[in-house]
Amino acid sequence: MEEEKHEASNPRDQRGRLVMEVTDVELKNKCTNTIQSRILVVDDNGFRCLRKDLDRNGCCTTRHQRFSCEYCDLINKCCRTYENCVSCCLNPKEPPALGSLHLSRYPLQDSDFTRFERCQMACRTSSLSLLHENTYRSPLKHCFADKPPPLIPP
Amino acid sequence: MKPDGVCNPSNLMRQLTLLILLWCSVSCCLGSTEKTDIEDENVNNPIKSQYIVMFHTFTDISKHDTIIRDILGTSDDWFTIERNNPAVEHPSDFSLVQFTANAKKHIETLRNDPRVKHVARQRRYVGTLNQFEEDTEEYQDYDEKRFPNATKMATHRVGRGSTRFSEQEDLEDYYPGMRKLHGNGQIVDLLDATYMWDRNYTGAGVRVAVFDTGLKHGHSHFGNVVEITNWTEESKSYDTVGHGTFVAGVIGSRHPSCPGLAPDSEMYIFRVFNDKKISYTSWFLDAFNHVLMKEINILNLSIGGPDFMDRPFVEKVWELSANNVIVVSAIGNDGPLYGTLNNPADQLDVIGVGGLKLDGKLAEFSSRGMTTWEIPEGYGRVKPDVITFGQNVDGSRPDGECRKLSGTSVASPVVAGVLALLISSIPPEQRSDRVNVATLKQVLIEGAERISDRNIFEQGSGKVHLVKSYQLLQETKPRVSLLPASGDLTQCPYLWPYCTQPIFYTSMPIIVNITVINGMGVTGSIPQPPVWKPATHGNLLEVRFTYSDVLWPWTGYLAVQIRVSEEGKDYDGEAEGIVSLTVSSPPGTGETQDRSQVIDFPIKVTIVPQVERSKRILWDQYHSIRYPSGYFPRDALDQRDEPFDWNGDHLHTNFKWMWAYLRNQGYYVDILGSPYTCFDAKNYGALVIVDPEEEYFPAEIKKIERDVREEGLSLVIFADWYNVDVMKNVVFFDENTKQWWSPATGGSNIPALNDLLRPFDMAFGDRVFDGILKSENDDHNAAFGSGVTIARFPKGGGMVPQSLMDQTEDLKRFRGEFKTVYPLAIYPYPNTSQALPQNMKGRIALYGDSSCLDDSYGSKASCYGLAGDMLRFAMKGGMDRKFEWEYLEKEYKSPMFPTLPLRMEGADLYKYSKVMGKTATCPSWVFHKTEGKGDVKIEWDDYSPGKMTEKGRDSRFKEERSTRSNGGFHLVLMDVPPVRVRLVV
Repeated sequence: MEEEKHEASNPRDQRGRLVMEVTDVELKNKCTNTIQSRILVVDDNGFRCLRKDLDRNGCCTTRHQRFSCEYCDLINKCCRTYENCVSCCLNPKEPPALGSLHLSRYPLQDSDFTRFERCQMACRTSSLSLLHENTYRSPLKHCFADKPPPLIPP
Repeated sequence: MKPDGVCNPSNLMRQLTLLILLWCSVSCCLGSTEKTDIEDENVNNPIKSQYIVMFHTFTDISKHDTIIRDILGTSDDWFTIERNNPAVEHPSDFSLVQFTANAKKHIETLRNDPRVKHVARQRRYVGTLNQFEEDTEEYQDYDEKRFPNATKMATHRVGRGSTRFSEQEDLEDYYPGMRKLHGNGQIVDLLDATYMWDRNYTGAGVRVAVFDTGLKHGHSHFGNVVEITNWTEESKSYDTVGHGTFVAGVIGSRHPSCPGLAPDSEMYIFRVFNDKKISYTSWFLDAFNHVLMKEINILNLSIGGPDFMDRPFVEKVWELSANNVIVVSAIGNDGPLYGTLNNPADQLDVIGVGGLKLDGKLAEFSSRGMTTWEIPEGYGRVKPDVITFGQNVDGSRPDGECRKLSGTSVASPVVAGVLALLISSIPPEQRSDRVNVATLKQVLIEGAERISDRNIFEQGSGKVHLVKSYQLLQETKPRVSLLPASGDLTQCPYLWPYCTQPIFYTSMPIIVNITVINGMGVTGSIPQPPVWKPATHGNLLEVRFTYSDVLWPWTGYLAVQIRVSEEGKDYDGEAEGIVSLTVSSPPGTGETQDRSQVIDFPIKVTIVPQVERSKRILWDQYHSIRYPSGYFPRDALDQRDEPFDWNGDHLHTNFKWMWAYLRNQGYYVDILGSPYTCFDAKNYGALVIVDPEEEYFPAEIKKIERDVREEGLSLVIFADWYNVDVMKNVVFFDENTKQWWSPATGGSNIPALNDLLRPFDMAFGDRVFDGILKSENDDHNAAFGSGVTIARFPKGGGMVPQSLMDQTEDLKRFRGEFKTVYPLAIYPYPNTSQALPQNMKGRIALYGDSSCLDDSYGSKASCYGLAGDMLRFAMKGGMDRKFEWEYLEKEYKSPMFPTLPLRMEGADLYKYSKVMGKTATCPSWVFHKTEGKGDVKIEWDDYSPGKMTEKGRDSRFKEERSTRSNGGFHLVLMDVPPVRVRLVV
């Protein structure tokens, strides 16, 4: 029931995948970004780009992937890659995210962090990501909802 | 999730991409049980024993060896052990001798010779004790009654809970003449920390996290604990074990009797082990996230375990490194056995720390390399990274006193403390530019001092030198470095095993797996293929490369494969050259250009003229599968503290002594990391197959038949136990993964081996026997520790009968009926009255046990002498009459095995197999067929799950099935004491 409702309310791309609407928010010209990334980076404007497309202020210069939810399951708010999770989570339409950290032993206070910091932390794998303590529950292991990803064992 | 890339040899060493995930514990070496008295040795039972023979005079080691030969005569029941240390260049007053038989007699002879001063047993730590398993006495008793055979196995932990401390308890092992330490405190003096303190570098402003057993709030030794958090299921954060307090103390204690190195560092204490010293990956993940939130600089993990395929854990550690948390971890306490590195210390991005005694010599317990992630296609990386003091170190106790502790658990926080001092020497505003995971690893490695008598897989870059590293850090800029920094492969002992065997035309390429440390950025790449620049005779070498697509986080690998070109066929001497590579990283903050650097890696090798076939052995690595991730059980069933085969089964890990033995016998050994279709039989006298777990491609079986019959290749096979009922008996429940663990195959995969041997009408049976293969005069006995015996053998062969104990049924008590069986067989038997078979140019020698060649069972009996006989037979055809050989006038078919062994139904070998249902690539480059065709694909063409178990289906098989359905199987499963199942939070 609930799934159907979601599907009805969300627009789809050409391939029929669910997409989030991009809402304009004011762009910063000096950015922080996901410094840890291997290839893809997300800046705190919500843009996702290749590392080589970062400018000297830490912002993405290519600006066609904003609030990107590529490889994400929008119903459960879980993504295959960390960077898409952060970018997707930054969409102002999404409720402020704490993800698994909400359930953490030392929960975060919402006000302590910027939205970007919250999304960075929420998207990390955690105890909720595990099956049998040694595998991931799902290949979509980066989630910004406060529940574990649905079980898709290897 | 299948291990992509595993079966594709073209993906050499893409260790960061092959992933299946589990995690296990091994026993923790805690004590030294050492035999000093040779008199107590049972000469009927050739103990794998080494002795130091001391002489009255100092002279060349080779002269000593000549004297020993003079005294003992030429015989194959003893050999001298090569000493891989620079001291071999200098006069010495002793030799190391290993006896394979007649130890007592030989020692007496040596002692009676006036040239010999004395003979003493070589010291070796063999004691084991796993803290995690010794929960309470009651458990033990309970288990003994219930599962007398499988006590340890049934209770074994596989998950992170088995992550254990790398500590040794108060080993009061003071060496004579030890310097009494006074002044600022032992560790502080040993590392010269006052040099830093005098400059006001005390760790101030550096955030150091300790993941351990917690710490009491307000402990009197500490003045700068910022936070103590608890991640266990218990509701307390103080330390009831003592381990965490100690580890924290080494870094941050201010107590004058046991001061830490960096007393002003900001300590963040994470309690991740409960009172029972149990932990879970889930606790770690959440605690690691907290580390990221608190922007910790240095994280100490005095913990570890063998499962580098626990992907959630391994990836989280990468994530920490990527976020510039420097992870320091204990390399493990499983030395002196090789192939015993612990994760996460074995990761490229982590600083893995080995242990030294206070006298600056390597501690026995310190785990040895190489890494086993890359086996079989590739070759291991260098680990540990550095070594430092880890024995009898002073540290804090929960009650406010000081104590001594030993283990790599102790060495790890020493390095964490050193790093805290180093970081505090950089002004805070410059730290983000000048301090990162890579630059600190670089200055630590480059500042380290090599110790004299140890190889690179024991000491890494050497002993930590705080002051030198400090000086390097002051000058360092973002740059690239390599570990090892250069490759003089002639340099012994440091570059063991490279320096112990020269290369020649047609020998398999040797691989140097270099760690690339990139201080220019968290991510980087090698944009163009590296270049080989030949120097003196370097044109005789052919060099190829495989390397990381992306160097992340901060690190990557470059594997250099080297072989001799055809022009070098007759060359005898050294060859040199330089590998030159460019590394680039995205621009730093405020920069616009990519960062880029060229770095050279000099190489020097010894080439000899092509070696004749009868001296060449090919060692099959490809058909060996180890834990992780599958459950590949140990090979000697009475070794109860260790259920897994986890050391790599490589000649340079747990078969290191076999390597030494083979080289000492004058053999040249190549290691085959690809299927049998990937070598040219004409190059080798014998293919040696030891303890194979893998299946065979049909094409391999066909090729081996042709190689043996037509090309004159011989087979020398050391099998190991196999029995489906025993396999079901070693099933255990793991509390961490909440799963039953069932072995993927037996000690060896006998049904597969029998497929390989079927063309020759040979087969092994599937009952498990134990005992000793006795020679006629009891002087060349060979051990037989849980093995299989011959079930089929053709006419014209020879076999040795032996009464052995059948432990198949009563594995539990190691009691059983003695039966006369055949553990050893050769074909064709060298019988002068019989003409040699026309259709057989090669020879075959079979033995039913392999644990007798494995260093993992070091305290047990060996069978090197027998292996030497089997190899001589394989190469030349003769066989000494040490054993009671029986010549087979007609085909032998054992009445004990009317049908041949079957594969266990439901076994999960296919998950870990590189063969079943797979296609492998045969890299033509490794066997000198460069012209034309390129890599050849090998298909597993007839695989279907049905076929695997239908083969030879019979009544025995039906019995197994009925046992299952009537609950016999489940009895073992359900009967585990419920108390062992612990809550996973």
